[in-house]
Amino acid sequence: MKAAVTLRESQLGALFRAFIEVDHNLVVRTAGPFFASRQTEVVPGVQLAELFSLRHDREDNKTYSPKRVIGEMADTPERLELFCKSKNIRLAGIVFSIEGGFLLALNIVPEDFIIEDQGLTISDFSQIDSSVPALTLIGMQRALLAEARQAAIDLAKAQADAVELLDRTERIGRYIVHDLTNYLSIIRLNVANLARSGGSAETSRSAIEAATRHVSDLVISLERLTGHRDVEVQPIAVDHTIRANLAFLEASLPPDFTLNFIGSVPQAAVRVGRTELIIMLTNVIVDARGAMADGGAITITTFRSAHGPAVRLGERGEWVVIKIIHDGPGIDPAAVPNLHDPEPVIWPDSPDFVLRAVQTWARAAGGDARVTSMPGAGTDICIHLPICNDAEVPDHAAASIVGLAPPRTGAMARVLVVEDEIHALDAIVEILRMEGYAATPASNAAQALEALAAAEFDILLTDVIMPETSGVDLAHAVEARHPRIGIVLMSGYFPDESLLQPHWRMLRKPLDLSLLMQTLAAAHAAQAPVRSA
Amino acid sequence: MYGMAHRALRQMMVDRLGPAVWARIERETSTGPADLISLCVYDDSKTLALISASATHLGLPVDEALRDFGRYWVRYAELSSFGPIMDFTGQDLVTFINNLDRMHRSVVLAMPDARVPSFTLLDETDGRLLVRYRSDRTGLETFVIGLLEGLMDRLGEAGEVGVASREGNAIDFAIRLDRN
Ligand code: HEM
Repeated sequence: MKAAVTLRESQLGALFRAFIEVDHNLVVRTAGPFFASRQTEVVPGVQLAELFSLRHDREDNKTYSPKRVIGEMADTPERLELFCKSKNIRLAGIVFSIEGGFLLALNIVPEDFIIEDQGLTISDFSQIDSSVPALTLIGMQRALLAEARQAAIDLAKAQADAVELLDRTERIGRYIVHDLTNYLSIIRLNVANLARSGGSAETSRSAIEAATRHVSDLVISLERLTGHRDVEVQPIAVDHTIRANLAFLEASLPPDFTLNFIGSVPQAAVRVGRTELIIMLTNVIVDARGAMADGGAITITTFRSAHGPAVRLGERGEWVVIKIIHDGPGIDPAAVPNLHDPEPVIWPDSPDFVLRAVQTWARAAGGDARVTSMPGAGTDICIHLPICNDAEVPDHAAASIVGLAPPRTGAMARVLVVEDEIHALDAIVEILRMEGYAATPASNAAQALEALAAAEFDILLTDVIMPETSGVDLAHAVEARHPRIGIVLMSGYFPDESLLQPHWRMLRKPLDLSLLMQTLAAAHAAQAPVRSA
Repeated sequence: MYGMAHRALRQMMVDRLGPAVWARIERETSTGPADLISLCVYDDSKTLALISASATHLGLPVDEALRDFGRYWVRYAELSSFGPIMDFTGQDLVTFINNLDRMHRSVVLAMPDARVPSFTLLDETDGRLLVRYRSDRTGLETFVIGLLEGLMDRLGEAGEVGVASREGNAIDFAIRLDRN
């Protein structure tokens, strides 16, 4: 056949990178740049059928001799495909008859369009072969998938790191709170000692007092920071919770204060953290104490209301109102409107700092907190919390005004004092002895158990957080062996209530001396002749 | 420039100075995960800010940091999931340079905002290659030197890259190869 167009060999190679010229017996005469650029077996003199198997577009499934097939395909548009017998390479194209043989005008067909490990490069494809962009783009797509996967792994790791960091911060924060509380106890108790020994060192006394106040503030903010927060918020009975923690709340007040509680919602439950509720009330009480230079009375009341707070106008439901009233001079009224400013700048020493925190908390729980100041006459703080109806609330005794047992002297009660902080232990033991108690020190649970094996005690007064065995575990162990002993726990924390026995007494650290005496006296007085454990 | 450059820079800085320094660079330049998507094209000012901040932390002039980055980039592309595309572009220096434009042209089919350069092999004698680089960007001369050095390293060549001439938006680089 006469060629209509004459191709130069270089152009032939540019168009058909894997062309092969064979004679009529299919012996290779020349091969294109794809073969020339690498070591292949496609060299002149080799029989084509030894290197490749053959496929063409006929559908009759019969095997034909390559010679016959190629001869028949010559100068038709039929597609010829050759498979390399030794490598995973496929060639495709059409057949021309040329002088003395055939021109197989072939290009490479990439296997599954994967470029990995095929040993192919861009120049194996003709300039117009769309395999190049296809292969490149598929390669990019794979790279992006790998990148997305890596990004997801990085993200998960970052999240895990963040959680771990938070955990660590929280743990460290708790240690700090614990240590600070201990130091605070030491200071307090020594202040009391100083006062007892004649009241001469008045300057150091007030200096220590000031330090106590600062550390106290620090502890409160750290507590807030480390979030003694219940993760899963179960409904809690408001009255019961407040009543169960009244001694705790009372411990944040000096002796010239009285704290009263009038609860009238024995059945109402709200969905807030138990600890949070107590911390918020403590904050409010501590704040009130600051405003009441000469002592006074703080009263907490609870009642039901069908009216929500102003910010929840129109929301249906029932509300528990917790009202804290004190007869101090009232907070600066100028600070009150500030509470209605949606995004105020808050400084820890601004007068509304604590109230703001209470408000944020109450709003997050679906309620609100509001302050009414009556300058000169006092302040009242109303916390609205939505009642949750789906909760089952245990039926507790009717509301009552709870006071503490009147103070009594030691009357030679035998107290085993367990405290891992040695200075605090010394101070407590010394004070108890001065108050007429027979106090025995132990600096850990093991020592305490030894002492108990050797002698009898009326009261176990133990710190809660101690290395190895906690005060709570110790109390359980002691009570199992000595059911008559009175148990008093001291902690800067508010321990998990489920771990405590209802008849145990709790003292909040830093210890308030008069409350310590009252509590020990009450524990001694209440000692049941026989308590079934 | 595209996010792949930012990712490569991040990797280089993390390798050299650790993750904390990179975190600081991200803060200094207000960079976040959204600026590190390989095939997203970002304003060149973003890339420049990242490079200058990195240069400062490395204690290098920007041009030198760019050259280091060019060298690093080739290694990064090879080791990252873009390795197969690098292999596909060429296994020897001459083939690679000859195929670079086809590779870039294919890549940017999916990235309409990208502006890729052009590399032409003008002359090839046994020990010397003359490569013309054309781009509508300026200031990347030392980056390209670093890239070519990185490529030589990757493809088993040793030698030196220098600027032979500059004209308009084209720079001719002379690569002297040590072939014994
Ligand atoms: C997998 C490998 C590669 C990919 C996917 C790739 C892709 C790209 C893309 C998309 C751009 C455009 C950036 C923009 O405008 O935002 C670009 C620019 C550039 N590429 Fe590549 N490239 C690769 C490898 C290389 C290599 C090995 C060199 C070495 C010489 C190189 C030299 C350059 C240069 C110098 C620019 C800067 C653009 C300019 O001068 O205007 N690239 N590349």
